[in-house]
Amino acid sequence: MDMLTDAARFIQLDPAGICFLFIVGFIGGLVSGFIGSGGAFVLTPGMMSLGVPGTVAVASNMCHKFPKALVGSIKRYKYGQVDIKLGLYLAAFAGIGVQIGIKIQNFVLNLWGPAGSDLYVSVSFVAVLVVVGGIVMRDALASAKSCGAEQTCSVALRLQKIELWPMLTFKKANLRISMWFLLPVGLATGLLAATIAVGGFVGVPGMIYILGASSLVASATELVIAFVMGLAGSVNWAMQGMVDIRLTLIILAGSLLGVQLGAIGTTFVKEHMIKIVMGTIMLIVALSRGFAMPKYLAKLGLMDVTPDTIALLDKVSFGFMVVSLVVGAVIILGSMFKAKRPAAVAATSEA
Amino acid sequence: MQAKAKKPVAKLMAYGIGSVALYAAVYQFQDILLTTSARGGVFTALPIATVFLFSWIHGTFAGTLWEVLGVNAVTKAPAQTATRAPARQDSRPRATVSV
Repeated sequence: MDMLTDAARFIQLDPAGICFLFIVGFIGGLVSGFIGSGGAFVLTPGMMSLGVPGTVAVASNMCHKFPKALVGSIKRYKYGQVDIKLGLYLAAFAGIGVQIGIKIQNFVLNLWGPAGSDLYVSVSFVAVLVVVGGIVMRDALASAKSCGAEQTCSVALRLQKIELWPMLTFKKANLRISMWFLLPVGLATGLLAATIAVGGFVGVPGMIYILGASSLVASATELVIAFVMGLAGSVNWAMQGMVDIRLTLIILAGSLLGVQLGAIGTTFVKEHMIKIVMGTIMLIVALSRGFAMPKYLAKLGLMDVTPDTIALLDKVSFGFMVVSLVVGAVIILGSMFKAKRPAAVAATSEA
Repeated sequence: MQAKAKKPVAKLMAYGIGSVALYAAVYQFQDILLTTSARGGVFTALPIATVFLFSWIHGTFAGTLWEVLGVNAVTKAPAQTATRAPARQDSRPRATVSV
């Protein structure tokens, strides 16, 4: 009986599928190493398109996420970018946020069924990514125009001045702030992680615009949060026997190469590049989820769409997700190449 | 002229062989790995320990590979530095007082 279940749960892998997972793992790792999160939103549907059942795809993806985050955070810690204390505090609050997120998901599922739940996830995806991605992109473009050093957000500076017990000091992030302002950032990160599986899309901007960390420290510290949350989630999934270790290790083969290249990249480029990559990816992913919404609206009887159109929109939606990751990777590699070239020219002329 | 740093080719080879050996072992014993992992419960330790082992061996190989390929981090000022007084503009010697 168990063997039958296992056979259905774990698919046969072909060379094309292995190459696909390795490449997406590499690109996802590159983006994660650079902006602190990303890749998961393409890997889960990508594995499902290979025939992997949804729960196994989520479990195997999560099981590759925490070692990737571990390797990335160690690398960025060596560059002096990680605030471990800030990461651990936020991870603890994010854990509570995940539990709240699961409760909300179950409430929506009981109220409107699976289609309503999917629509809730898509609406959350689009709303959060458009608002937060828009703010990040606007700030990134303003920083790029001014060409100056990164300025701490005025909201964060005001919050840091409020002496509300208990006050916490984070040396590496160079900030002192009340725990009560840390709590909503952590909760929102966990809530989003439980809803759309990419908590970093709110965690990193939260650290930058609410707590006042620099984008380098925020993106590096997000890797600590991803490690703690990923490890807890992976143990949970592994207890249920849902992890396909082969899929995890294939993705890990690419992502450990990518995450270290992304981490090296952060030392090459100007800080606003992290915001540009993050804003670009968030806005393209929002567009992608927008294309998926008619399917759920049709299931709820709120829209009349033919099955052919839904199939086409599904493909377009997945295509845009892949595009977002590829565009992010191209910007990272392009900016690294651009930053490296003057140094190489200078070295040649010296010789 | 600055001497070029020696590239860690031996380390790359050692961890590269280790990484290939681990992946070959997974390919060879994939059925037993999958069925044991699928049992859950106390066997949870198997997939978790496996990914930790891979992240050490393959992670070190990946990091060394970029180093050997010449893709190294640029050393620059730390992300957050303490506020320092601006550099002195005046090139004349400072006045001193002998007591």
